[in-house]
Amino acid sequence: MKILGIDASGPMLAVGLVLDQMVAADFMWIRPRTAGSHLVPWIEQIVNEFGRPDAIACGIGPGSFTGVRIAVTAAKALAYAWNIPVKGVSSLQAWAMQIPLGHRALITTELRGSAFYAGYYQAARPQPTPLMPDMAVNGSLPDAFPSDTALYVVGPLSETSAGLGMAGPLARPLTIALLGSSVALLAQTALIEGHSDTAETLAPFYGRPPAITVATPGTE
Amino acid sequence: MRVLGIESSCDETAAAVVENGDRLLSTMLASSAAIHAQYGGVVPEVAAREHTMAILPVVKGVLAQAHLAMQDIDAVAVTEGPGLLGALLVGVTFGKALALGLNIPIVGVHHLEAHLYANALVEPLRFPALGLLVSGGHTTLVLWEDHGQLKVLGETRDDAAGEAFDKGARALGLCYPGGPEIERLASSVPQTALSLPVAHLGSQTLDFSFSGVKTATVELARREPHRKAEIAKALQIAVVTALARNVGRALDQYPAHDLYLAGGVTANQCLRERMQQIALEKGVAVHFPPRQYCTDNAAMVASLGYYKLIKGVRLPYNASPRVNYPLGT
Ligand SMILES: Nc1ncnc2c1ncn2[C@@H]1O[C@H](COP(=O)(O)OP(=O)(O)OP(=O)(O)O)[C@@H](O)[C@H]1O
Repeated sequence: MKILGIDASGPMLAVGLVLDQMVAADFMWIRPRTAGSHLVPWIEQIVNEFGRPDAIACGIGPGSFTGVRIAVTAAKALAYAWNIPVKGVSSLQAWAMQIPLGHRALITTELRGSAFYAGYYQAARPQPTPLMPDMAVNGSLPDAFPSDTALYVVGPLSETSAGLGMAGPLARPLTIALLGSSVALLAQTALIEGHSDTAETLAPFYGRPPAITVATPGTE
Repeated sequence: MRVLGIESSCDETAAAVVENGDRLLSTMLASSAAIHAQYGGVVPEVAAREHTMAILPVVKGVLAQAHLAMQDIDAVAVTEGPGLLGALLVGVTFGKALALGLNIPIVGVHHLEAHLYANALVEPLRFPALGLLVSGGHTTLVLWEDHGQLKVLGETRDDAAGEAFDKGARALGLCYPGGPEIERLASSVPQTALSLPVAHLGSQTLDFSFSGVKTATVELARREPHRKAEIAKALQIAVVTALARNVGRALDQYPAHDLYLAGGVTANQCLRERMQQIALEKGVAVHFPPRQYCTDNAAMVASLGYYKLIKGVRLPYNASPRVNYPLGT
């Protein structure tokens, strides 16, 4: 099975192709907010090289609202045009595919002020196990988050000591990439077993409502 | 050539199929206006989210309505701008990916230029012409020499004509959009002794200004709270007079034989009658789009797209939306 994997939710834009469980191509660029211009040309390049895929895997977030939307919108149009299955997966879980086996990692993305998105994963094959659901964080991690465990921190929270400190004294930074092939491999089982989404139902996971729709405390 | 048009510049997700630029096969629209109404204006993030989930059902719906398979589409035309970035990105990304997937060409179009092409769905356009775009966000007079050749002759320096109706309506306690409400109320009185000012920007200019009439309407509504229908009438007269004056001036200055109107305000009957009168006086033909294509739709996008496609214009896959996109560039 030839699976195209795409993600634009985080600090990188990623497009990859997995051919019968083997990585055939991975395009990745650490330049956020460029998905609008680069996603479709990269897919075109991969299609020209390897032909039309049999299925599409798409990171649905959480992360940049706009980035997530671009990936989901492109996935919808392509799945429809090619009449192939599409599967949405957690962008954070896809990122966690690169955690070294035997380790845990707090995957973070879209840090703005003290707000970000986080997922906590245990490395495992064929896919990382979520230790808590992906969530929007405002200022501090949930109480249930273990601050006394050795773990890696991935993403923008790992870039400052204050950020690392939030994840506990045993937190260490880990530099791994969110790859298109990881998105494809993560979706592979569901696609092979026929548990895909449809082009219509594929939906972003934003993790937060649009700012204006949230009543500020005290205004009601 | 069958062109699939896609429009997502504001709060409406629209698709249409038009053959050879003039034969409308089907058109469909999903609006998130009711959601925005709760917040008192279009919320960009909400609009973008709604577009994301609406675009595929609308595109599939428009093909089903025309009994077409996606393979029957020869090209895609999409609104490139101006508009809200997040909203435009959905249409542009969907259009590019669909064009890649179906291996057909794609072209980007200007939203306001497209409004004028609502006229092409009625009969072939004739050039050189004068175009008047009057909507909730724009009031623009153009010299339209040929497909793709537009020159802006005048624009509003502040509020748009539709905005004057909308804000005037609010001052009179009417609901949004105000244009149709003002028209209904105005037609309930035969005439009025009240008058509202028409801005004078100089005898040469073709520009417009509607902020003065808006302020005066608010004033008058406060002073004469029981003469709402007359105020509506006076407002309609003032706006239409301002539009008619500049159209008359432009027809004297430029060699146009046809006058094309476009945009939501074109639905106004008083405006239509006044334009017909000027056209008669100046010896030109005036054209109005069918009322349902005066407001945002994708039929106009597909029509303009056709004329650009046959000239060889294409949207590259790396193109981003043009949030600020001056007309005629
Ligand atoms: N019968 C009418 N008389 C006067 N104005 C009208 C009438 N019907 C609609 N309008 C006005 O038309 C405007 C809406 O038109 P349209 O949908 O073309 O514009 P828009 O989408 O708000 O703006 P734009 O296309 O410039 O971004 C509103 O201001 C509305 O009040």
